[in-house]
Amino acid sequence: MLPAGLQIKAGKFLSDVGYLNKQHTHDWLFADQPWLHEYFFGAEGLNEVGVQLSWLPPTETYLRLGVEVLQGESEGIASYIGEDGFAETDGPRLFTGFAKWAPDLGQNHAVQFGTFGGFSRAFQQEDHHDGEHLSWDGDAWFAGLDFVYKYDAGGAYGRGNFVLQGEYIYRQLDLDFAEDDHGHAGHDHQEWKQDGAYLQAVYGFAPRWNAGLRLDVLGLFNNEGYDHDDREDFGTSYRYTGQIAFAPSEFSQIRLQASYMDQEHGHGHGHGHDDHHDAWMFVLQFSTSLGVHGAHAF
Amino acid sequence: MINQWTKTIAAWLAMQSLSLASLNIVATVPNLGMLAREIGGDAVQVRVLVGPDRDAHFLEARPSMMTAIRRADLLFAVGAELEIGWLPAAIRGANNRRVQPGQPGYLEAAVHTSLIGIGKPADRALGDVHPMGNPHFYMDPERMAEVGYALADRLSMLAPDHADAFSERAKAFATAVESRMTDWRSRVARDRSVLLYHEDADYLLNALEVRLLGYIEPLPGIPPSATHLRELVRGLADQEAIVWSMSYQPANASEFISRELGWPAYRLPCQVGMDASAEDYFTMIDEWVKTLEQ
Repeated sequence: MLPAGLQIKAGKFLSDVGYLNKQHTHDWLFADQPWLHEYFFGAEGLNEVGVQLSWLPPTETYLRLGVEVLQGESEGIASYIGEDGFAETDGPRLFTGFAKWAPDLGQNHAVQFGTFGGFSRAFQQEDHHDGEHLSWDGDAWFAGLDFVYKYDAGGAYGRGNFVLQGEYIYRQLDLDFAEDDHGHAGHDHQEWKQDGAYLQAVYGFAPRWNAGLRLDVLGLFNNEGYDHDDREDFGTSYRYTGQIAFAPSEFSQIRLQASYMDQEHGHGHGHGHDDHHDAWMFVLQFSTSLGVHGAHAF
Repeated sequence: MINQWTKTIAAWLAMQSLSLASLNIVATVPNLGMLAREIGGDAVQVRVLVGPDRDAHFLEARPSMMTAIRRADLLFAVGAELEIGWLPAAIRGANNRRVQPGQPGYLEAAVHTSLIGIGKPADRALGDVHPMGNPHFYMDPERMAEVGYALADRLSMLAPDHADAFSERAKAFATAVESRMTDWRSRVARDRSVLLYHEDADYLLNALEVRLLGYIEPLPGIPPSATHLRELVRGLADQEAIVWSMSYQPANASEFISRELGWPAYRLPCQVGMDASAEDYFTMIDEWVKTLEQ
C-alpha cells in the first residue's frame, strides 16, 4: 500500500477490467460466466500473474483508475505458444487499464460505471486436422464498457434486493495466417473484429431466495473469424439463461439454471444457407464456502 | 490575474489547515458515530457508513464507503466479525494505508471490552456463530463507556494537542452512563423474562439483570421455519415473557409468538440516528427499559 491513494498489487490475480472478471466464481449470480468472458478472456477469465497499480483520488465521488502489466496467457485475448515457428515474445505481454466511477446514491441504491481496455503483444493459435496445419500469429486488443446497479431493500436475508449489470466488449485480432494443406502453403494477413455483450438482472423475491435472467449476445455488431477455408462473418448468436437459487445458510447455495442457445455458425461449407445450432442446457449447482466469511468487493 | 490566483491559493490553504485541524473519523455504525462525536467533540468530523435501519452483519461494500474510508484518519469499527462481510472489502478498495488493521488509524471497539460467548466452536452446523464473541456490545451502555476510554486514548495518539479534552469527555460520558444505569436498574421489574429474535440484546439484559428466555432464531442467522415457531410456542406455553426484536429484523415471527402466547412484543431500534448525541443514545436505551417496567 502506497501513500496518496495509490495501491500496488503483485502476484496472480483476477484482473479488474470490467465488472464481473474480478469476482470469484462463488460470487457469480449465475452458475457460469457470460459468453463474453468465456470467449474473449478464457474459461478462467483474465486471471494472470502480474502487477496492478491503482489510484483513488481524494474526491467526494468514487473514482478508481488503474493499470495492469500481466504475463499474457489467457486464451481468449493473449494465447501464447512461443515455439515451433511462433514468434517468441517474453512476458509481460498483456497490458490493461480501467476506470470506474460511482456517484453516492445513499443507503438503498448504488451504481457504478466503468470503461476498460487492453493490448496483448502476442496472440498465437494453431489448429491441426486432416493433415492440415493452420496457424495464427499476431496481436490483439480489446475495449469495453460496464455498469452495475444495486438496490438494497434493507430486508432480512436478501429479500427485495435487486442487481442489474451489463458489459460490452470489443475485440480485434491482427494476425498473420499461415496454412499448410498437404503441401499447399498459403499466407495471409487478417484483421478480425468481434464483439459481444450481456445484460443480467437478479431479484431476491423471498428471504434467502433469488431468481435471475441473463441475455448473452455474441457478434452484436462484428463477428469475424475463420471457418475452414475462408474468412467468415459468423453472424449474431444469442443465449437466454434463467436461474433460481436458495441459500440454506450464509455459507451455502443451491442453484438451478436453464439456458437456451441460439447460435449462428456462418455459412456452412458452401451450401449457401445459414448453419443454425440451438440447444438447451440445464445446471444444478450446489456451492458451499469453507473457512471465514469472504467479504466480496462491490 | 495574479491577485486572483493568490486568493484561490490562500483559500485552498485555509481549507487544508481547516481539515488538518479536525480528525476525520469514519464509524461503521451510528452508535459508534455517536461515541466518536461525544469523545472527539469539536476536534473531529464523523461520518457513519451504515444507517440505523440496517443489519450491519448483512451488507455489501459500496463504492461510497471506499470514498469515505479513503479520506479517513481513523476507521472506528465494532469488530468481532460483525462487519466481516463487507468492511474488509471496503478497506481493500479504499487505498488508505493509515486505516489498515494494525495501524493507529484502525480501531476495533470489541477488542477494548469484554464480549459474551467468546470461544464457542466455529461450527457452521451451529449457524452463523461468532467464535470471537457476540459483537452487539453496543447495547450495553457500560461497555460503550469502556470503549469511550479506548477511543480517547487512540484519538490522543492521533491528535496529542487535544488529549486532555478527549479523556475528560470519555470520563463525562462514563459518569452520565453510571447515573442512568442506576435509574434503569431500579425501574426494571424483577420478574421479567425476555425472548429475543437474535443473539443481540443479551448485553442489555445482562446489564439490567433481566432473565433471557432464549431466541426465536433456531440458530444465529437462520430464520425460523413455521415448524420451529410452532415448537417454540408449545415449549414456552407455560411461561410469561415479552418478545424483543430489532427494527431491522423481520416482524412476522415475533408477531406470531406474541399472538399465540399473548406476550407483548416490542420491535425497537438498537442503533441511534446518523447524527445522534449521547442524549439520543440514552433515550434509545430508555425505550427498551420502559418495556421492562411493571
